[in-house]
Amino acid sequence: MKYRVVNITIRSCAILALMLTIIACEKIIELDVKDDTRKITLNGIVTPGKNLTVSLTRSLHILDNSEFKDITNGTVLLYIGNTLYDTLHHIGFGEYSGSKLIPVSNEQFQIKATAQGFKEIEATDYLPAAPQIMSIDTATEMYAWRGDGMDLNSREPEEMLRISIKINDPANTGDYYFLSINSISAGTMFNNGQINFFTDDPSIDDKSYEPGKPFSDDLFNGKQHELKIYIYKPWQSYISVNLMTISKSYYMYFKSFIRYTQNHGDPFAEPVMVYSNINGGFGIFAGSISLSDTMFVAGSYTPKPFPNK
Amino acid sequence: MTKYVAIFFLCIVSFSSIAQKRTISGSIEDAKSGEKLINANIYDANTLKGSTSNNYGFFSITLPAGKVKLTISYVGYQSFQKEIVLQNDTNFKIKLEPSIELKEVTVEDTRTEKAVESTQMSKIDIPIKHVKELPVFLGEIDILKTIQLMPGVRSGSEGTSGLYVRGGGPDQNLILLDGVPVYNADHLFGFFSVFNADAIQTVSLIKGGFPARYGGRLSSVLDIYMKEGNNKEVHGEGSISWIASKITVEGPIKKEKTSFIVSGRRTYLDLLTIPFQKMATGGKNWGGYYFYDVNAKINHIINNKHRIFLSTYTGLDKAYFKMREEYYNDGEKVSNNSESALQWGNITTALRWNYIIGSKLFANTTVTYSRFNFSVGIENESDDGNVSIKYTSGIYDFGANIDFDYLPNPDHAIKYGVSTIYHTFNPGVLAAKGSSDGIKDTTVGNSRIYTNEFYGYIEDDIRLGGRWKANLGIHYSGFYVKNKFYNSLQPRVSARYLVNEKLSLKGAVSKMTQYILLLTNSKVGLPTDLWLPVTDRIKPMQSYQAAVGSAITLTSQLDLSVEGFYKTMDNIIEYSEGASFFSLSNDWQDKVVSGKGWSYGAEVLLEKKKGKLTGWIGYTLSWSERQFKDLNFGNKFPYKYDRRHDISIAATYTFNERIDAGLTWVFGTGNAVSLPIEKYSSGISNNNFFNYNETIEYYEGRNGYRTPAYHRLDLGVNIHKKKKYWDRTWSFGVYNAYSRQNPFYLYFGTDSAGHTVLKQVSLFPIIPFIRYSFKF
Repeated sequence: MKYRVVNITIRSCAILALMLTIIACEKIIELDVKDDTRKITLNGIVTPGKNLTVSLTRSLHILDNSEFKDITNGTVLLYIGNTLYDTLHHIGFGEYSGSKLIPVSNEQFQIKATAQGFKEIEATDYLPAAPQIMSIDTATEMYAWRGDGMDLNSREPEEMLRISIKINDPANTGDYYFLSINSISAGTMFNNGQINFFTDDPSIDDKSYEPGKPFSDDLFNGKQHELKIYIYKPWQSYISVNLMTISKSYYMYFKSFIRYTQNHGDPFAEPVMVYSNINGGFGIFAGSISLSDTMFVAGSYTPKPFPNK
Repeated sequence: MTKYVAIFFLCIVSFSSIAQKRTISGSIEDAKSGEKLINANIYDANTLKGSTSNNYGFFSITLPAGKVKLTISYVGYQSFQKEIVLQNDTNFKIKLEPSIELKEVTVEDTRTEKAVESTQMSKIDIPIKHVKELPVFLGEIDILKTIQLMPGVRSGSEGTSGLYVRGGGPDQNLILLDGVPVYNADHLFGFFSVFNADAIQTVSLIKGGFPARYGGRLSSVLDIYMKEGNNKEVHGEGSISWIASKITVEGPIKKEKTSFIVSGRRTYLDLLTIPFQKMATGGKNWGGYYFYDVNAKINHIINNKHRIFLSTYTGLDKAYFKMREEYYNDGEKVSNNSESALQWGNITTALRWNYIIGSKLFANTTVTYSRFNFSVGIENESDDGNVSIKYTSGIYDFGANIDFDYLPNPDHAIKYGVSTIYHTFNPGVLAAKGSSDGIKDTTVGNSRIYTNEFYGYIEDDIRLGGRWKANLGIHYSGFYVKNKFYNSLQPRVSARYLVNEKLSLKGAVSKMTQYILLLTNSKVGLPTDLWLPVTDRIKPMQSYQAAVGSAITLTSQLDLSVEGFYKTMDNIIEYSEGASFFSLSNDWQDKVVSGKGWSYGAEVLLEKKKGKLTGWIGYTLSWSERQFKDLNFGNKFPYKYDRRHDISIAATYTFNERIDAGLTWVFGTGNAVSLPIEKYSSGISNNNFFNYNETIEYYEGRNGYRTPAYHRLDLGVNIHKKKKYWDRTWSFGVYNAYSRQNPFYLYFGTDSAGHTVLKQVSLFPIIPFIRYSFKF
């Protein structure tokens, strides 16, 4: 229904567009910007207990149609505190890996990367404290999504699986989270893909029906908070509830990147600038700690905990 | 503050209680039409005291008893002079004859009160005559487009009539038609304004130094008054151009008692093209666009003290598409007719009562109604069932206000009054009816919001000796919305120091508060833009503006004004990043962010008001910036209509009584737009969520790119001839004479070789116009 109204609007506007097209003309113009040499794009996430892997690619001028090229001759140095901790080595396809990282929460780490023909880039971030999940409960409920005022069908309550995640937020620190739900293949226990979910939680700005949401503790700093999300019940499947604490840089990147992917290509949308904390270049270098819990959702619509609940 | 208000009143009372004074009051009108003359000058040569008529032609001047040498003057009219011995309070109805000599050489003053003498700064009065003489787009005379030629005012996109005044947004202009707010002043998606110049008597724009009687918007007040209608004899005028025709008729219903004016306009592009569309599609598909508007006013003089007016405006824009189709479904013939339409329109109505309470006190009471409605919908009639879907939004106002003009003596002109408006906002409702497609009768959407806005004000235009003059005022406003009450006390101060009779220095400080806002998408200027009230989350917008300037009479024909301004704006809103009109999810409040704005700059206006060559040159140097916590990572960025340099030249030359020609040239720095300049790979994976390899486009800040500069030359010539029963004028000209391809928008596309390139879409190349107009 929503799309029908949108189509009508677009069609009506098209009449104007048609009229304008008759007299409108277009021409190619020069992009009037200082064309610096290209920059290094560095993407890497620090996760405790895992080898740090970052990728280096070369940025492109906006008019350049070629593919992104991996940077294979780079030097990537990781500092923890102000001390050189590791030199990452190239493992192929522009990816650089180091030794297993055992960072301490809230400790600053810094990465520097250079390559021939590029200016040095640098980024600093920290590893947040691990998320504290107090409990995860599920129930089958009738739920009517209130997020979309234009979709007639969306107003009908539907039977959905409500997942309540109670978290304990540390006091006196600004904490940032990312919640996602994944479907797990029952036979292989492999991650089968992301599950879109609804939520009315005020701490989550983005109410769209999407699979992952970043949020901050602005509304519950230092308190326990129960997040309620709703999913269409998968049939005889395992689902994994994944909660990450993420650094502020990662949070800003996530928020802007998700908005960017949601709206990119919409000619009516406001432009989205994706956050980057790479000085002298592009990308994101940030820390996160993830906590997951997997549970079985039966076809009887009675969720059963699995394997530890 | 209370203390200062009390002192203010005491001063007024003390100044007012001067003995041995007599008052001359009355009205000033056009001797031929009976139209009241606004801002006409009344001057006593003996005491060197003067006054001006108000918006309804009423004047009052209190002078010492004895000999008075009175001169009443109004530009374009022969002065009226009278010597009297003033012994008692006296009432005059003064009728000024149009000046024939002046008409021949096209002498026209852009201001009725000399700028040097007035306390008011940052005000532009636009003579309708100028509006009609200048070259116009597609032959349609447009008041707002003439205003765009003034310094401090700029248009939005190519060809549109939006006003961006001193760095403010289009919703920050209080547009009043006979005192009634007009919420959408655009026809044809902004390419024309709703104001029909034939029905308009006066137009004035205030950009700063706002008198206390105005409020409710941050950046400007556009005050437009309709003609009252000739109360002596029937007259009319009209015109025919490529896209529209219009006609105006005015005259007495009862001579010198009751008059009327009716004016109508309609475009006919749809009527001309539909036959061809039907031929091309075999009568299956056709569509079109039209707009119309009607202005009407009745004016009745009850007696010397009482007068009433009833004025109304209604207008509609409609773009529509109709489809007739037949098909077979399981061997059965099914016919299907559908009509989709996008339409919007305003209605404004004012019932006004003028009451001359005494020789020094004038009251104006007005009851108003204003409505702006937008709808988009489809109606589908089919053998399978009927379906109707309609989305509507709008704003409806009922208002009442009473204003007093109290003129105790020539040193004071006090205005005070109160006003209230009951707003009903309809932020968007979708209604579906029918049985086809599984649709039941359903209505969903945001519920209506009812609010009450009120204000009270008092101001005094005070003469302090021979050189100083000040306008001091206070405006208090309040707004109730959903159990939330906002209020604001807004001081207004303007002062003028007369250095000599040819040079004055001026300064003004004003605070403005705005309780309603326009939710608009920065990329398109559609009527889908929503008027909404402030809420408990969205606070009222506020601005502070300081302006200093000087008015200089260079010669008897040349006036120069120079002004500098600095304006701050708080709680202004913008769509959040990624928000789109068509992403209809979420409460509208979730789609906007609040922030701050600044604008500052200097304006120069050089006017030549007499002689065969008249016109002006305007230059504006300005900066306009915004800062939002959630946009551009909290960094300041230029407003999209930030324009560093803006030059406009408007000139008309009268060769003789039969021929005059007009020219306008505008130049402006390009708009600030957000354009990516580089791109990179997201190339990030996360075990639980991300596994993307998206291309991310890099913007060097919001609105960090400038489109190419805008400039355009328009030329026109008017050839007049007196016929037996009417005067006719042929107008010819060209819009964009050297066919400059000005940017409408930029986008990345591909060239013939498949390379990505930056493309600029321009709307209007050189476009000739022709118009036939007549007057009887």
